[in-house]
Amino acid sequence: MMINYLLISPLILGLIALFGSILLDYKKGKALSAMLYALSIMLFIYMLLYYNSGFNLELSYSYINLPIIQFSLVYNNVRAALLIMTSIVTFVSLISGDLTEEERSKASNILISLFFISATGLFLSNNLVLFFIFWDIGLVSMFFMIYLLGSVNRRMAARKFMFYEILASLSLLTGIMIIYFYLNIATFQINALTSAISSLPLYKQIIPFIFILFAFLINMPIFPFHNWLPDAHSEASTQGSMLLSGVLTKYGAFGALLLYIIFPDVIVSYGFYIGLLAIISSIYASILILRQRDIKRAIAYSTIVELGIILFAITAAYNTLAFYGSVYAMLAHGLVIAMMFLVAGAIRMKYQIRDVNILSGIVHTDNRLAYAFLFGVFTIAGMPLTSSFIGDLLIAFGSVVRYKALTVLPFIALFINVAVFYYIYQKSFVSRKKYKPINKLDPLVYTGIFILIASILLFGVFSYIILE
Amino acid sequence: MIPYLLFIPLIVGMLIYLVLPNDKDSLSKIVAIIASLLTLILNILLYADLNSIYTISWFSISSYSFNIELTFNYINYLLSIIVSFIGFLINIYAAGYIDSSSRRFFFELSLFELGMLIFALSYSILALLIGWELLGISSYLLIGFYYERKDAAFSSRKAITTVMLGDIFLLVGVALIFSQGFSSLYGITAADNTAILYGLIFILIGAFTKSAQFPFHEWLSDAMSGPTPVSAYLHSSTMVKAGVFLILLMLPEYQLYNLTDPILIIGFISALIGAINALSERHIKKVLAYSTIEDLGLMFIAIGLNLPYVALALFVFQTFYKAALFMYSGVVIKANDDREDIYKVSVDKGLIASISSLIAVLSLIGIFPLSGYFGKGFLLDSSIRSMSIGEYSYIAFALLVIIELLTSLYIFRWWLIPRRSKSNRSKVSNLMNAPFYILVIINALAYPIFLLFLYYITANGYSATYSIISIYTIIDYIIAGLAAYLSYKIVKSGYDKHIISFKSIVNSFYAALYNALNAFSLALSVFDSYIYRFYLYISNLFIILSSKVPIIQNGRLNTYIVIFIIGIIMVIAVLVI
Repeated sequence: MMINYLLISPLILGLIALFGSILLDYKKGKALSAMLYALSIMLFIYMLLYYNSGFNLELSYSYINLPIIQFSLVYNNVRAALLIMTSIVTFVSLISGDLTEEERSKASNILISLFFISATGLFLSNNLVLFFIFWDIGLVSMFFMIYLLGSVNRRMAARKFMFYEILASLSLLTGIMIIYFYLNIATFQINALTSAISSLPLYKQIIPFIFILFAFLINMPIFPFHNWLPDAHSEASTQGSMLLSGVLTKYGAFGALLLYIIFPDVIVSYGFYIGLLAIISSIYASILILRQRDIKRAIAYSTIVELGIILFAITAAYNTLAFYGSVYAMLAHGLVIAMMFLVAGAIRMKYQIRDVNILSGIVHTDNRLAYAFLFGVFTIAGMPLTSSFIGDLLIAFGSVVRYKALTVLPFIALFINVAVFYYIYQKSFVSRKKYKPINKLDPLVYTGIFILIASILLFGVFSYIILE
Repeated sequence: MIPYLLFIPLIVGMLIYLVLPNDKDSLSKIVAIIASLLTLILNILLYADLNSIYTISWFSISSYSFNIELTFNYINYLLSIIVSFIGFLINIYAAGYIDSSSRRFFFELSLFELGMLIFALSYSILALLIGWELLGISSYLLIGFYYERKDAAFSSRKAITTVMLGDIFLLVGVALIFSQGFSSLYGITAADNTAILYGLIFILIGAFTKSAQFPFHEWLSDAMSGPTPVSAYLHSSTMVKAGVFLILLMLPEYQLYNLTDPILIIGFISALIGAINALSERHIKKVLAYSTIEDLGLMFIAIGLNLPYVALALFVFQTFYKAALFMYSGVVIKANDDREDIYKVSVDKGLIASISSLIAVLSLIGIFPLSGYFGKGFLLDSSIRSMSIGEYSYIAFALLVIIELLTSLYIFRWWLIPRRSKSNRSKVSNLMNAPFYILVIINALAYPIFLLFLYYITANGYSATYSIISIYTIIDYIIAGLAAYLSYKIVKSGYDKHIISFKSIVNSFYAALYNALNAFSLALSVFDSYIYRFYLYISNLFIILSSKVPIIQNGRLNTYIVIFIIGIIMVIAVLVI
């Protein structure tokens, strides 16, 4: 089928963006990349329509005569949710995330396009080794995005990020190698792996499972491997934070979903304990938000809360609703957290401060930013007609099958998280005292916020595009 | 007729407010009144669709389909009529009340009315959740309408925080029931099911937060920092009754699982707390807010006593007198340049104003034939005959009489204290007076409305036994009359300043809880830094190890051979395992 070759086109678009950013100057490179990312959004939607009408979208190509590193891509509605989210977030972060002088450089365009290639490749890959390769490309580009473009303590944060992520990546590789040792067939196609692994006894499945899971837990991140995230988020550039929180943390979550597909037996037998860890992680992070003075750090901790809930849903994913709930929550969280970081970055740019105890009365000086923040809080809280509502709904309805009344615990973490956000809104956004703005904002920032809000609502109302 | 036509005027109105320029206040007021009138008319026309269910399929995942189902069951229809009728009056009232940014106000008010209508007509779980959560968010926006005022920002946050706690419990509660194979909350017959038991308890918590029952009642009195139309609409007659409504419809399930006693006890506690707090409150609207907590408590008592038709009557008739009282207080506030302390305001002591406000006050106490009687009087009368709690019914009756006594005391205090000062002749907008007088007339002519109500519910299969007057209601009147006289004496002698005010124990409990959480958060952040330090130690360990490596890498062949052999053994061991 010709249509199958479309699968490779997002990667080609990413490569064109990469070379364009290298060759052209900043402004032209940005314009070119923006067009290409916009094209990729449409492409993914177009492919989703094909998928929904019953086409099977798969592409396999072995470029060395080794089935292990077969170049194999697949597209279905789960991947569509993540890919559409990725391309929207990348597009918005490119057009409106460049707030500081450092971010307005060729380096930022190049790194974003590299990250785009990594993310699309990873979410499309149908092969565990391919997954690993794209995973590492993402880490490298994100490392430089923090190391080169971030704020004052960026070097420390980047090293911390790399320290944790290299551990994750090593652990993933170890897991893959252990699978290679255990299995007689030498293939890492997801489907083939699933059937091959189900023939192993349970105790042999557990060892690679733990190694791979460890990688994903660090990446998501889940307590007690979360220390890199608040620093990385608060020190990264606005673009970096948007991509890091919106897309990079989904690598781990998507990986955990693959893990559920590959090792269903382990999840069914021991998933409960992972779910408990996820609950602890959510509640732990939500309590830590209480003490955050930095608005970006508060949003970063809310990422941990939300990913805890997503992991919680994945451990109950043998229920279809929980499975799709986790996917939808990933989509929703990617969009809303990117918007929150964009707003936080814009506030930092406009007022040159991000301490919530000092900031005040933003609604009097820039009401659009304030309303966008409030909308983001509503979305995180799961307001109806936003995409989070669908995610929360499906997670709750699916997880109760496994966890019964315990399902309320991760939602209590979400409640504490949102309660703190309302407090921040009251303190820094609607208080009477006005804090004077220092810089003016590019109108493109508001465009970016608008695009993200529109897509949150779009996927909240027309959820059947992805779910059916 | 197509049922979702009902939502069109409000949605169109909201779109119009979005595009209207900011300074066209009167235009958005006209749009609001027209939209709410159209909603009311459409709602009345939908009477033809009684007892039918409409389904809008939203999305489906494998065998699960998520549909928005609206029902025109007669109780749902009753609530929707109340919502759109009071909504129409409130829109007129608000047109007189709101001075600036009315575009934003009416947008939020329409969002609320939309959520309330969806909730009122909801049949499937999805519709219920959408309506329910829209209520919380729009009430947050409306309470915080004057967000630049510190108390408004604070109390709106308090409200949404409490209500959101209920939202998540409701979400998980309905999920638990859904997981047992029920796509609607009504008509569950499976007994002895732990999941459903937990689900019902969680839904009850959700209902208590929304209906401001103990221990979640504190947000309601603070919510009075919103504009008066909001207090009259959300916090007396519609939104806070969502919880009561839900439990009322699910009463058979709660009976099945023997959960009516907790409802009864919480109802009594809340009613007493509301009445006692109202006794010492000075804020003109907060007295009424505490009174609303009491009324809602009475509805839960009626539910707990297994008297659904009494609860329904209270539910309907409480709307009229409480909305009227709130509208009166709004008129007083406007006439006094936004002063809200009952000791500092003065009222119009003219004949019409006096009589109409007195009618609203007497309705609250429950004097025949004013509207309150058809809720409170019947509750008193039926409580003693109630079979469901046996000999405890005398205790219930005694407690209800005490609540009645307190009600009479605080409401006359509320009514009499402003009358001590000189008559206030300042004019307020007729847009505010007209809905108030309409409601007063409804309160005064409640008896025919009650007969209509009785006809409506019996025609739809409810069996209700009412007796118009009995020995118990007469006892109650004597007590209420004595209390009114006492109240008059106290106010006249100026002794009322010595009434002890009760500091809220619940508030200080939440403050303590917050402080504990904050301290815990401090402890956790210290712990968190230790986790990171632990990783640092590990990495230091590697640095130390690397300084020790030269001991092994010493260039001697025999050392290398030993290490090589150890390595081979380890590899074999892994492969064997």
